[in-house]
Amino acid sequence: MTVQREETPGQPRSAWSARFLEYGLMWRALRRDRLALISLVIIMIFIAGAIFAPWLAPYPDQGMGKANLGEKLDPPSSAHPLGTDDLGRDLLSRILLGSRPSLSIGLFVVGLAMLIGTPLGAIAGYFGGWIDQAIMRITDIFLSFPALLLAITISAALGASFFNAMLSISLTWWPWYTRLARAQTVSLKEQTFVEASRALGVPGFTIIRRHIIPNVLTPALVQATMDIGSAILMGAALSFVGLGVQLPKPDWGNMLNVARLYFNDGPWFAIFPGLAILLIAMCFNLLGDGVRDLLDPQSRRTG
Amino acid sequence: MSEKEQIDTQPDVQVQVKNLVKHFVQRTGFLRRKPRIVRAVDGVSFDIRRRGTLGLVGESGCGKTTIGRCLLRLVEPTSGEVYFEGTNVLGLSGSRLRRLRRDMQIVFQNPYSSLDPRMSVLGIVGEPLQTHTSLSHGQIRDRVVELLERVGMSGDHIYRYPHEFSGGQLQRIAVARALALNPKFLVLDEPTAALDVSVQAQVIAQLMQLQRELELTYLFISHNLTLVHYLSDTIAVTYLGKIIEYAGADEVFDNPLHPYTQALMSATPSLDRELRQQRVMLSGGVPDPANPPPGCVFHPRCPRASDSCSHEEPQLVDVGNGHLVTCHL
Amino acid sequence: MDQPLVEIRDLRLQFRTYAGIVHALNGIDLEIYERDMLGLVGETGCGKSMTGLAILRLVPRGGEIVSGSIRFRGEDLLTQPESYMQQIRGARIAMIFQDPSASLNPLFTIGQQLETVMRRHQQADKREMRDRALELSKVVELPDPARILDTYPHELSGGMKQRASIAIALSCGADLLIADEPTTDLDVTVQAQILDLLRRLRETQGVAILMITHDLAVVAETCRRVAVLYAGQVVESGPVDEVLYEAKHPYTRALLQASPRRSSRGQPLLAIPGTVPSGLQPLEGCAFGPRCPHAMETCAQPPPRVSVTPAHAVYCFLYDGSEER
Repeated sequence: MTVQREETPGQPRSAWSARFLEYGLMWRALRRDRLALISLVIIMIFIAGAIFAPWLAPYPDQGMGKANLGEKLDPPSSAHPLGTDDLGRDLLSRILLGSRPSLSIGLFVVGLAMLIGTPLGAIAGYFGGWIDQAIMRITDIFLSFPALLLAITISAALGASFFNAMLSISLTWWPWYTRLARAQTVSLKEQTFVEASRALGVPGFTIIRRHIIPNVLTPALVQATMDIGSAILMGAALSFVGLGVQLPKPDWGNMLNVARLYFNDGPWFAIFPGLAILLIAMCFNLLGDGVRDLLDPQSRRTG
Repeated sequence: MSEKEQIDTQPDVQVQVKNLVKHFVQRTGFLRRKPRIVRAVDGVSFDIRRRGTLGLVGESGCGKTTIGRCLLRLVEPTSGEVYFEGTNVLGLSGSRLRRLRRDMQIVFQNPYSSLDPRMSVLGIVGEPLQTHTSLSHGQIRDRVVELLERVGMSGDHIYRYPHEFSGGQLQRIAVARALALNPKFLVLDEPTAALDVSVQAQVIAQLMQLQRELELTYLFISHNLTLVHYLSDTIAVTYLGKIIEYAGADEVFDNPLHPYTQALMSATPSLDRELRQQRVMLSGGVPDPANPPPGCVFHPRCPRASDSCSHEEPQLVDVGNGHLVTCHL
Repeated sequence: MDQPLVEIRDLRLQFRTYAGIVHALNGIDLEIYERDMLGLVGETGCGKSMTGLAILRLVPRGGEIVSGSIRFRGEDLLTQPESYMQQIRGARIAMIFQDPSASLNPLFTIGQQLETVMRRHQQADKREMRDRALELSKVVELPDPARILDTYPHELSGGMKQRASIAIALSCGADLLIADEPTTDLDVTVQAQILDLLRRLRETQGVAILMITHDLAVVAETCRRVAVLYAGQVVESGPVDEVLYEAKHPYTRALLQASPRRSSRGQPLLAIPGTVPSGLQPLEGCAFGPRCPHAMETCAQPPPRVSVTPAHAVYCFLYDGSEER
């Protein structure tokens, strides 16, 4: 007796169109979330602004530091839409060019943290035993320091520069991803499909690479999206205390550091960079919320 | 554990299990001081003939699932011997063990969780090929398509993901994966428990067809006595980690000797009117495997327990016709 | 037959989901009589659980009963206010579920939970309630009833938990007990005990039971009447002996042929080609049409209800008119 073949409606798929359709569904779902969508748009604008800053800035050389002492602390006008700073430099240009280090810190830090932290956590969770203990104790040590303080300390020890700031913040960030990955791995380990792979004779590291990491990536990605905002904030904080980008190069943090001295005479000098930081951090948070709701299978089911 | 690598075996016996024991140790109590020993499998022995099907049936806590996993060493037995075509399975390690995996495979109960939701069908069914062979991507793809068609699915599905399929289809994919390396022996762990009756029929029919075509040996584990009877040549009835009855399928149904088997049969609802009998009603439920009753494990619930049943553990008795029972009666 | 206890006519239920509107129930007709034991049987997605929930108007969020009537002792429950339903639930109509752990609060003892229900629906003092609780425990055959009342759910086995839920369900003298897959998660030997208990409770407590299950064998051995559901429609209903042993509807027949039994050994189990409809398309005509080996052109119309015998009804064009094909 022959058995019937299974028929699933729909055309045969190629590898590309299958992936494409997956993302297509996610995109449709994201469109429903207005807040997340607006945040995404704003983020895109900021990123575009950062990339094209040298061309978008009305006074690029002022943006990079050339003083314009004749127009010190001018309020917003047609010549200078956001006003000028204490050395007469166009604030809009400064902010645009300053977005480069500010945003890139967020992206690099989180990327690096995920790259280091996630596999470590997966290894700890999968193998357990002394490996787990060793990794987690190191993680705990890092986690026991207040992040900002740790970043400041490392940065001060290494010397004040943009690169060192990035490095020090990354060092405070990776433990969270390790913890997250480990927790996910421990529960994933018990899943039948992991057992099935073991039954097939797949070696441990391959299982981690092929099965654990992709399944751990989702919550990690959600966490990462929300973290970018916090990383940007921390970067700004470091620059604020003088441990990041050095003047005259622009950075939202170091701008704020100077601006607070001139608040009475020229509040716009502090307000606009501050607003930029606030906006970008908030947008990343909202986007992260949206992404999490999106990827959470529970909320996907009900209309 | 046995040191022997190979033993002589009868030509038609493919799998031999002797005195398999698996105890799980749980630490309980306030400071995790008191160890609790769960006797999941407590001295089980059986043979499976080549190209035959042994049905392992029992209720919760009987150890049938653990037995299946022990055979494949997904769980390491506490003691006992397992031989596959004469080779000592429990003595292997490293690459020898990995090679054995090509011959012995398993299909799990829940198709929704036994397939990685983030991998495509191609990835899932291709994984064994990637692990054990050095075929190219194209060759693997071709083989996967061939395997899918063998289980009655179209090769067009290779780029789809598990969530796009129904339970029955997922189980077929799982079977395709298990067959990828041309195994000789399959453990089927409640493969249709999560499926509707009509889908179950499809999957069972598929499995039987495959057994004929590929000359496979099956260990079929289930709590459904009727289904086990339908599929198996021989049946082993388990209770609290021990095999309490073992005989040919029809023999077990027509002539159940152990009181538990009798109770199990009468408790199983049946569509055959002729089969309905006066209920042998058991009291209570299955005891905790960590705390089995002394003597015969079944005696507290046995309607025909006698005095000796609470002291002495009964041994396996051959009552002829290949029928083995563990009972004092 | 006398007036049915519950009469459902043309019940239609829809769900708003992410993917569109799912038509879960497409015109259900059912009768449940006093002290009846009606089996509602079907596969996943046929709507049997939904029907049970609909009777108590406990349809989950997103679901809406769009038409039809559910008469309980003559009153249409669908037109009653929520306050009326709250009086009915637990008191006149009660429900037990597949997982008893889900209906037992882990923080309270069995006795406390019994009393909570009784206090809600009846005026009785502490002593009377305690006595009644004890009596109920005996009725559901819980071992050591007095002690059981003071235990917590997690201390009980699956079978005992289910007995406890039955006790709670019957604590206020319900007329109808809806049992949604009550034994699916239990061992076979325990299942036999519970089914036996339910059968006897019908006699002793005078309660009608709606047994929702996917297991035809359970229905065959326990129920008096049965209704077979497919894709939100009743395809066949009537006395168990007639429906299961003289099945008329092609789906019922296919389901029976696909179910293994002692006599099946050696014969192939016939599978049903195709898959169950997803419910996203509104139903026109017979739901089983696309998969039916005897499908005809007229099957695109809603099938007629044909009375094979006074009690046995089939919804199929094959039996339309007086000729059987």
